[in-house]
Amino acid sequence: MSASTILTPDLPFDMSPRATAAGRDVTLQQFVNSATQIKDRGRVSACHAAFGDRYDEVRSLAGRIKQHTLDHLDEYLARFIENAEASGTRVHFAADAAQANAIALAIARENNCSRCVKSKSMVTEETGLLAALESIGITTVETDLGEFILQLDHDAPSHIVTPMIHKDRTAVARAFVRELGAPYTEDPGALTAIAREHMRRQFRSADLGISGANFLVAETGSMVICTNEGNADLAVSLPRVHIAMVGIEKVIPSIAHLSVFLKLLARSATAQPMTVYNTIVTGPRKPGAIDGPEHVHVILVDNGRTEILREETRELLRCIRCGACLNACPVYRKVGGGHAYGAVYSGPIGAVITPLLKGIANYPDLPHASSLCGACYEACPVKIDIPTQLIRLRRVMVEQHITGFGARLAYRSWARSLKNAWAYRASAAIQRLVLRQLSTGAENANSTGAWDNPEDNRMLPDAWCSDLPGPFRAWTSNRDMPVPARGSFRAWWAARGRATSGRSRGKYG
Amino acid sequence: MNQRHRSIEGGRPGSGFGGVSREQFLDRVRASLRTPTRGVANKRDAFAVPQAPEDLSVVRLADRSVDLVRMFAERAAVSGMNVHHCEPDRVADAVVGILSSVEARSAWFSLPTAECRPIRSECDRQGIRTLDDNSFRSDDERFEIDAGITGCEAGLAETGTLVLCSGPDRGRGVMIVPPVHIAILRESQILPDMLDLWERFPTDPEPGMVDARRRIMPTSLVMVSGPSKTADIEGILITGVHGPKAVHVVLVSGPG
Repeated sequence: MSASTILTPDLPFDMSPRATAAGRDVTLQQFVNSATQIKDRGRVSACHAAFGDRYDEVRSLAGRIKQHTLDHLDEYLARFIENAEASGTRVHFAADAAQANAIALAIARENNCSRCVKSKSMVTEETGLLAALESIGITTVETDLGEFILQLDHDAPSHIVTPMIHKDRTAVARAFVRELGAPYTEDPGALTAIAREHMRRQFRSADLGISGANFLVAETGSMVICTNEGNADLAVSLPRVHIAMVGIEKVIPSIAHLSVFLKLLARSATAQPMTVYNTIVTGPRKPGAIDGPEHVHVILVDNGRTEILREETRELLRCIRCGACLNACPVYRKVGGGHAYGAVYSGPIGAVITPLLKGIANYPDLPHASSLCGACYEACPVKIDIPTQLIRLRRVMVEQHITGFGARLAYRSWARSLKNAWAYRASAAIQRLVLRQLSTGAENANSTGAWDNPEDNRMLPDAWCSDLPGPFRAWTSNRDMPVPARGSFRAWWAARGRATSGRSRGKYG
Repeated sequence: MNQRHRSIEGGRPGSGFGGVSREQFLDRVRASLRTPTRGVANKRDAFAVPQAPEDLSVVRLADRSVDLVRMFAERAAVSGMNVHHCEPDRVADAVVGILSSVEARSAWFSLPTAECRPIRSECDRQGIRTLDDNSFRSDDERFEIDAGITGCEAGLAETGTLVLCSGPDRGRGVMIVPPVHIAILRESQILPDMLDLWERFPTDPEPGMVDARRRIMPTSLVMVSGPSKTADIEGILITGVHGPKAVHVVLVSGPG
């Protein structure tokens, strides 16, 4: 698979082949599991070390600031535009990906740019800017080390913050031998030194620097770029022209508010107190300045964000792209990272915004790629309720008949059975009967399990359904299901109540 | 409440490089927010902008009750910076000592002349070639220098962070191009927390707004918390990827 087909596969996208292959790939599982779990635990310890029991309050504040900004996004965008232009930045408005790329190309042509250095930006992946630049002959180098290696290897990122968690050092070594003519080495320090030397040659000769932005500050017209490598600083301060392509959701009200997000971003992403470089750029070089670009352009990108801005999904735009939800998600780990999602934005946040940006019918698997465990919601520094948004998407899929007839019938029956007590009891009794019939060893199961014996705390079933027929095979192919007891808990409780009538308190209260 | 007076806007044409016009773009946003679109018809709109949350104190991580110098030095060290304490009259010795320890043969200074002079003299005595921002014959030459030497706008104790701003005598390349960065920071410049940083910058009345002020930022403000790092290759931490491999902070005591 080339980079383009990994993140822009044929639609509608079926997750199963990639997810299944990833589930069997032991090495991939090891890499992704360790990378994500380390960062997830790191986030918890870094945030508790810094904020103590104020962590939840800090997340609430960050969420409120972002939500407020989104609720008044027209105002804050207007302020950003005015203040950016007052500082000498030129602002452009791209309704969609094609326009965003076209504007960037036009700026590059106008300034006779031919050599571009680029720092990591998810929105430029979204629009496919790299390919567009190369199509008009502008050689473009990804300067973020992970992205650079992926570019050399014609591969695609699998994580929005640490893009290379699916690759090991031998793959890097081979790519450097093949593409850079470097000697083979597996030492990460030596590999990095090779990349550094190569990249410095690019920085020296570049006439165009392209970046994204982590934040846009409405009050000051500034853009904020956070990196650990310093590649963005080299890319945006040395070439004559700097273009930043930025989604509209990146706006925050004021420079003081930036403190809240900078204190959360790196701790949530990589367990660091801050990224090594936090760069706040406000305009091009002033007359008499020593260095800096002559022209600074910001391309504000919509590309479906105004759709998500509608009230019922607005909170999704709070996202600060920290990757904490990816690191927390058991599904993300199991499917081997971002490639299984078939889109630029993966993990829990990607499972919701990709269908919204690209069409729910095109990504029908993503809203279901979740056990609704809520780990993402707990990890999110701006408290986006991803589980609720996933459920909302599932409901929309049913309403729009994207979900198949059989599944819709099952949902409808299930909903009916929950609506009154008689229907619930009847359906539960039928399920118990059917499952006991279909399972092996059910006749040996005791009638009410450990409920009979208050001393027995195991509550373990004595028999299992391992091989259910029809659509239920999808469940039992990977896991056994416990056989239900012969009678219901409610019936047992009611019977017990009659037997011990007069006593208001038993062992179980 | 901030009030905005907006003059008649017909909607300028697209920026000239493509895309849509500003008003068309903002109208797309307004449609999702279900606010009425502003057009030529709405001439005199003064409308209230509700205030964003103002009390940010819950994120404060340090205040003046702590030993700021000690907190700064500890946290800077944790993030991988080398901290050298020195007296005000020993700065030149400290800098040259660092240059010798990294075997630097050339140093790029971006400091006010008065501060530079004693250090450059000492470098001359040691045979270390010194340059400033005006010395370079070509942009390319900047990539050949062994060390960059700067002052700082401020330090942040909460994270052991250096704050560097561009200015008439302070460039941006000096702290990111050479493999070694030496930053001269006076103890008196250390602030407790990032929340305390912003009031150092002046404000102006915000154009188009009533009773609102906005902060005027320098062209570039960089917060540096360590040498350049990556963990992209198998999560192994490596320094000196693109930015400096080493950052040395010369922490100068005294009232400053």
